[in-house]
Order: sequence, then structure tokens, then C-alpha cells
Amino acid sequence: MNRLLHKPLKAFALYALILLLGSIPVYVLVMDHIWNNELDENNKLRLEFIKSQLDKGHFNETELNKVIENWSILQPDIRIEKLEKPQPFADRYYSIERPSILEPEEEDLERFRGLESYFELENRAYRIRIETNIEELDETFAVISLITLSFLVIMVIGFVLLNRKITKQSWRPFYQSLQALKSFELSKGQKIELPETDILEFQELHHSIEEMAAKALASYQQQKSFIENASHELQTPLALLKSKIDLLSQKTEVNHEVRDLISAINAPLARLSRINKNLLVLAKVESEQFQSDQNLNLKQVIDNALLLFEDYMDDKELQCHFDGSQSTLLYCDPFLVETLIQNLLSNAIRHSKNGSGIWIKLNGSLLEIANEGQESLETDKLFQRFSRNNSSDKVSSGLGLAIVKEIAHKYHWQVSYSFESSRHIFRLDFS
Amino acid sequence: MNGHKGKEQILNSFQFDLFYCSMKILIIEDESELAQDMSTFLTNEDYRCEIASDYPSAWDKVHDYEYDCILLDLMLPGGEGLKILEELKALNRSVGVIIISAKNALDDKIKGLKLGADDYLAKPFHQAELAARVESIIRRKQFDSQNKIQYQELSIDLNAKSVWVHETEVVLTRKEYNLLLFFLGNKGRVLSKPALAEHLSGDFADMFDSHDFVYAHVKNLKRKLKEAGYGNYIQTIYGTGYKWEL
Repeated sequence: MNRLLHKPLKAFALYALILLLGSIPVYVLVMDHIWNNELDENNKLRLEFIKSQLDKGHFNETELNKVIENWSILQPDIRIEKLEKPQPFADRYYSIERPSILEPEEEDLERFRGLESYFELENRAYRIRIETNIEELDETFAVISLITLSFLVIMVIGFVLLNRKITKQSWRPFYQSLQALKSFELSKGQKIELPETDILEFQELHHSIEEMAAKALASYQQQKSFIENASHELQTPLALLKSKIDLLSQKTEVNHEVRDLISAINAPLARLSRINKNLLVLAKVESEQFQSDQNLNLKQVIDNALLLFEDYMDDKELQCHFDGSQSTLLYCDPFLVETLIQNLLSNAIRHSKNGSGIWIKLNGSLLEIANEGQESLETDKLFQRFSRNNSSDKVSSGLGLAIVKEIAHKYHWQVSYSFESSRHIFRLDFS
Repeated sequence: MNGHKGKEQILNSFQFDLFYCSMKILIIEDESELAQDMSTFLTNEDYRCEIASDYPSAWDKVHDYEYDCILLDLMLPGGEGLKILEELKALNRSVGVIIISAKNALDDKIKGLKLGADDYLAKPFHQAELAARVESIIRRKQFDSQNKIQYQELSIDLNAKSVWVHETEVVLTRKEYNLLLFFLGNKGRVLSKPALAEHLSGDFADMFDSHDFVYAHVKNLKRKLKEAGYGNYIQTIYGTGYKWEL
């Protein structure tokens, strides 16, 4: 994945590269042009100066020959040649490459800018050539390229540094909101509050996030209190129903058919009231209504639960193997940890075949509750509310494992399920 | 001879009635139908029930009369049920209070018990459970010194948790003993298996579909009482459960 700010950086760097590379020939041509103009002007001035000095000198032919001869020794870059017959031509500028006369040992070609002119003196025709050394094009090109590339490097380094600085400073609010969103949990019920920033976009983003979180929280709270209120409201009619059935059972004149009906009503009623009770427990765990944390011995809790359920295990002739020599101390709400253990245990008992076994292993902060089974349960749905695997189950509230998960979540305990060697194993890590 | 015996029985039961007639229960519960049901279930020759369906009338009744047991719903319209509890404490009444709350909130339970309530029962509950609790509280309040139940030739020492028929001790398991007390608290009433299971295993009985163990415990209890020479008072009621015949 690319980081957001690396993208414009790459684009900027590429743009700068293209621009600077494109500027190299432009610089070279412009410099060459200026150079040529300057030398042409200089050559012209020298030409006119030489012409006027020769005019003023009033040399006779012998003297003039002497001057030209000396000249070609002292100033070989200005050559004056005598022409056979007068052949006037206009001044001509030109470029030439030849070895330098000033360095006779060097064989490399040098570039020269020249001016060729015609003049007559004492009825003799002369041609003068003034040639001045000019920097070669490829050398100019190399130097400019080097400078440009150096600037490019400095520029890119600058971009990277600036980018880092901008990322750190201007984007800080963005990373703050990102962090806030990452740590946001609906069930904690905490609002998201983001700091003010002077960047318009981030300010808008912050406001939107805060608003969105507030809305989500509100609807979550609404849903939570709906469940809580609904289960509260259901308690009274449930209580009435139960008491009516109790009263009806007392009637002596009731015949067998009605007795069958009464006991048939009792079972779904018990389930209904368990579902309702569990919904209340869930709502309360979520709304942090269990606050009476205290030190508890987990082994003691399990022992108590086993005692409570011994009749049900005897009914199914289950062999319970409790392997827990050490005592594990927990700091938590007694009701919640009891509920958690009882839910796991009652599940294991209910879903065991008659005469099978239940294994409980308590080792330090690790608890394992296992019972025999045929095939693995659907792991991803297991801890969800009302996601029963077996719809023919007439007792399950469909909330037992959801409660287990919710309680574990509250105390940051790890709960997991696995199916190993024909055993359903629920593991709890209390550390 | 026969007539004399019948007269004696009537006299005995009259004395028995007189003794228990004074047991007055106040049901403070805003759900009038539920209050009525509780009253119907509890009322027999031993108990008389009165109902207060709101805070002011409860307040008045508590001030004006003496009760042996008060069933107190904590969620009362027009005032918190806990205030009545505070008032009872202030009046220094020796009355057994059972808190009945739909709220099922632990802090209510703890607060109530701290303020002197004797027991706590969460809605919804089996009426038989309520009756057994009421019986146990009244027993505790009335026979504080003795802590003994004498019923026909059966005597129960509540401190030692021992049961005697005539001079023979009946050795019961903890659950059989609990069952016996539950039956005695619900004499003449039909007790359903779920109610018995819930009494024995607590709130979690409804996690299970079968309560066969109740049958085993009742069977053992009947057998042990019979072996000690006590009559067979526990009757099986078809499809429902059991009943302690009077």
C-alpha cells in the first residue's frame, strides 16, 4: 500500500525531473547564442580597430608586409592575407573547429567563432580573419547538465523533507482521528472527541466523525435500552403466567388431559423466562451495571457449579473429570463469573449423550471445558445471539454463549472453541 | 367413643388454626393481579393475606397493623419500596420481609438485605417457592429460640438439620432434607417438578429440559420416611408433580 502523501511526492519529483531535463538543451542553446553574439560583437570591434590603426599607420608596402608577418607570429588568431586581385566581399561570420594555434602540441579540435572581412590598403587587397576561441557545445551541455541534476537532487531531497514535515504537522489531526476511530467501540459508550484544527477539511472530517459516532452511539443505546426495557416489561406478564399455572395446578378437579397441557405449558414458559433473564443479563453486562468486582477463587466457583449441577449429571450418568489442583484467583463480579461457568457447564451437560464424559481442566489462568461430540460446531456463528445449531433444542435460550462471550469481553478474557479428537472444547484464558 | 374422638380432632385443629390464624401477610405489589394470585396461593387455614397496591396504602398499613411477613415489591409507583423497608426498621417492627423485585438487580438485593430484609425473590417465581420462603421466615421469627418443627409425629431440628420420627432419626441427604422442608411449607399444594427442581438447583433449573432427578430424590425421601414408620403423605400427581396430603 502506498501512503497517501507519497503519491504527490512521486508526481512532483517526476515533474521536476522532466522540467529540469527539458531545460538543459534550452539553457545550452540560449547560452551558445549569447556567447556567439558577444564574440561576434567583440570580433567586429577588434576588426574595426585593426582597420583604423592600419589606416592611420600610413605604412608603405614593405612596412606593411613586415607588420603582417610580425602579426602572424604574435597574434596567430588574427590572420591578414594579401589577395592576388581585389575581390571585395561583405563581412562574414562563421564557426570553425580546428586545433588551437596557441597550443601547437594539442591535437584536439577547438571551436572558434570567426569574422572574415575584406579591406584595401595602398591599392592592395587584403583579407582579415579574426577567430576567437568559444566553449564547445558538448562541454557547455555537460556543465549545465551537471548543475541541473545537482539541483534536481537537492530539490527531491527538499521535497522529501518538506513532505515529512507536512505529514507530521498538517496531517496530525488526520492521524488523530484515525486513532480515535480505531479505538472507538460502541459498547464502551464513549463519545469521540477530536481536537480543533485550523485546516478546513480536517475540521469538517472531525465534525462528521463526531456526529456519526454520536448517532451510532445513540442508536446503540436506544437498542440496548429497548432490549432492557422490553425484558423488564415482559417480566410481569411472565410472572403472572407462572402464577396462574401454579394456581391452575392446585385445582383438584383437573383431569389428566389438562395436567398434560399444564406440564406442556411449563416447558416453553421456563424457556421464555430464561431467554428473558438472559437478555436482561446481556443488557446489564453491556451497560456496565455489574460493578461489584472482588477477589474470587475460580476453582471454588467451578466446584459450586458442579455441586449445583450434580443432579443433572447423575440424570445423564455423565462422568465428570475435574482436573484443577491449583487455585486461580480472579478479580471480577461474582455473579458474572458464576454465570459464565454455569453457562459453559450446563451447555456441556445438555449436549452430552447419556453415559459420556465431561472434562474440566483448570491450569493457572487457563480453563478448558470439554464434552464428547460427533462433529464440530459452526465456529463463526457459535457465540452469536440466537444462532442455534440445532433448532429442535427446546431448552436453549440461544443466548448462553453470547453471554459467555460478552462477559469474557468485559474482562478482556479470551474465549475460544475447538473440536479436537471428538470433543467440543471451550477454552478460556483469564490472563 | 367415635364422637368423642371426632370432637377432639376438631378441638385440636381449632387450636391449631387459632395458633396459625394470627399469621398475617402483607403483599405490597402494584401488579394487582399478581398480588391477587399470591394471596390466593398463600391463603389457607394458616395464613391471611392483605394487599397494598401502592406506596401510600402500603405506608398506612405498615403503620396501622402488625404483620408476620411482608412481601415487598421494590418497584412501587409513588415511591421506592426500599423506603418502606427503612420505615419498618425505624418503627422497630419484628416482621419478616421478603423483597420481590422484577428488577432482578443485585444492588437492590444487597441494599434490601442490608436494610433488614430477610430474603429476596426475583420475578418470575414459582408460588410454591414463595410459600416455602414465607413459611421459613415466619418459622424463624416465631420460634427463634427452639428452631424446631413439630408436625404430627415428625420433628425437625433446624439447627442440627436432623429429622426424627418418634424417636428414630431419619438420615436424609441435603437435598432430601430441603425437599422435606419444601413439602412442609406447601402442605396440601400440588408442587410441579420444575418448581421442585428450581428449589433444589436454584435459578439454573430452567437451563435443562429434564428434571428426572426430582423423581429419584422424592422416591428416596418417601422410602426413608416410610421405613421410619411415618405415613405416606407424599402423593404423586399425574403429569404434574407431587403433593403433601394433609
